[in-house]
Amino acid sequence: MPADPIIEVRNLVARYGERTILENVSFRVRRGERLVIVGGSGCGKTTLLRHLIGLQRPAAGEVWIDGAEVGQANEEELRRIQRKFGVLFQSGALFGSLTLGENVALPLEEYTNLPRPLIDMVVRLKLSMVRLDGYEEFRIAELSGGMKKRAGLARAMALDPTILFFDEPSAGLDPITSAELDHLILQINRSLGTTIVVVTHELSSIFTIAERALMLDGAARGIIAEGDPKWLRDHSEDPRVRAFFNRQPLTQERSENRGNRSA
Amino acid sequence: MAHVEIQEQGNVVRARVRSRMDLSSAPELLAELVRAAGSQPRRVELDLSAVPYFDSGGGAVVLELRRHIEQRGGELVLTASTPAIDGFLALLDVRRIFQPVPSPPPTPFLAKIGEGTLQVLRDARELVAFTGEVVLGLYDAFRHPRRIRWRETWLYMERAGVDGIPIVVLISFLMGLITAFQAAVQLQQFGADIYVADLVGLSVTRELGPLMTAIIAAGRSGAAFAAEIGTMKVSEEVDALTTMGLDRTRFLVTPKVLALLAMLPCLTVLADFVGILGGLVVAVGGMDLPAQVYFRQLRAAVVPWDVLSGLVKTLAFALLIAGIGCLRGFQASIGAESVGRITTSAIVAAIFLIILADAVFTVLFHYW
Repeated sequence: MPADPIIEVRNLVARYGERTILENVSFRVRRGERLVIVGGSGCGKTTLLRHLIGLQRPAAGEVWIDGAEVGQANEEELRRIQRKFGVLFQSGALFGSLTLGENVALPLEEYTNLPRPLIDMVVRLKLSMVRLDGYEEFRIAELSGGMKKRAGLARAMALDPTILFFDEPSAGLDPITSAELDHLILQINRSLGTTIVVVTHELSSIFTIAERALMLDGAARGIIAEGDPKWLRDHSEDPRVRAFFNRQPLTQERSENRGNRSA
Repeated sequence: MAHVEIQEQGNVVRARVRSRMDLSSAPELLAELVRAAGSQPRRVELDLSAVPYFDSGGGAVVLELRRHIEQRGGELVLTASTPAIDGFLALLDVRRIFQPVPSPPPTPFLAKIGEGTLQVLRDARELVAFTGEVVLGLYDAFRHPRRIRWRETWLYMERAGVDGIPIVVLISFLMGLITAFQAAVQLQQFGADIYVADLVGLSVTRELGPLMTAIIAAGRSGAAFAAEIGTMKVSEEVDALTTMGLDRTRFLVTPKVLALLAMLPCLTVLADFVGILGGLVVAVGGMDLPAQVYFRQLRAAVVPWDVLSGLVKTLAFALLIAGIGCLRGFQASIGAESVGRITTSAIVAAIFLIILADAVFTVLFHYW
């Protein structure tokens, strides 16, 4: 049993109909690692995430999570694999018909046989971890954007997953709230040893969270760079990678040349 | 299986947990520790240094145990733990966990009545304002036909009209058939078989045709209008339209109202026709009336006004269905749940108003 890489992707091919989004993507994630998947809009990072969490089946290739293959798993196996991880969706994806407490309690009621007082206590614990204790009775519509994200995180952590996936955690949050969320992600990783996989293009989050970054590119349909984001920013040979991590327009050099010529 | 070593020394209980403390073992472990703590106020020293795995199940056990012991005037002390457990506990604000959950104060009965009344008044006001909006929109469309969003109007005409043909045909055929069949049983007792044509012809053109078509349209189109506008409201598309300085009535309401005004009479004519055919099937197949006789009798019984009065009603139904569908759509608040609620409400309100309007028309036509 390959216990160490907790996630392994081998030659993954992702297609929507005729359009190929990802071609021969392979990488591994160590247990307890913080990996960030980055890239510009439309590069396929959300598609990659959807394959990792089993919402989409690969056209070819394999996705292994904690020793089980996601791509070929049947419904029941997939459900068992999916219990090992939690996902924080971009908008929080909380159920609007339930209160905050009921949202977090839902997976516990469905998957464990804990008595009510213990479920309530676990819900309190989870909400305390995301600094939302005391908000159990709130309706989802009454929460702010940052609170929804944290509440979504509490629900994702309800069953103590070994992996947490985040889709654009800082999207739509103010700098302070998003920095707090980044900090919370780091704390969870350090205190609980949870493996963290984040999909984002927010530079400040990338530099805070990532031990390692994978950069995808739409035209290349795959990974064009891999490594410590700070190192990539300063030393990458690839102009696309440097432009991304330095937050510069890729066409800058060309337009400067044009300016020189006309002068 | 929970493994807990218990040592008792006077008023102090030392408990050393040697098993996993996770969600699945939590209930059993808690029961064992509570039993060890007993009902007297005692000091419980918990040693977790031999716990191989600890998650929120373990956390809940420790906190529940602490609550249990402190209720009895005792004390829980954590004497030893592992780095993993320390990390877990570091994420928590234990002091706040023990504060009671604040719940909003209950609203007094009188305030509830007041709130309900205000809500009804607000709804009525909104209804009046919206009716005005629709009337103005139609007036504007009538004066400047080129300002109508024709592309959307055609699309809704197709969805509300053409796509609805199969279900309208099926239901009105069956309605004609059932009416004729029920009538046949009674009429044959008096040898008045021939009057089946009168009965089917009049009831279908005056009532059944317009009514059934309108109810089908309420379920199909009224619901679709409400859900569509409701979803647009939830995803801020309606706000975008407003801030672009565009008239939400002209863009969203007028095309739908016009489409239904145009299509509902067409569907009703079709329903009338098919319903009469349904009656014919029973007359010919079950009562041995020749088709020519059925039609001759029908021509004598049904005058153009019968069909026309049905179509006049249909125009009112179309306004009600499209109007209430759009109004409920704009009343959507936040979230997927509210779209479901307003869609239901759109159908129920539309059907109620259809029946109400039908009653008014019946009286009106009678004294005309």
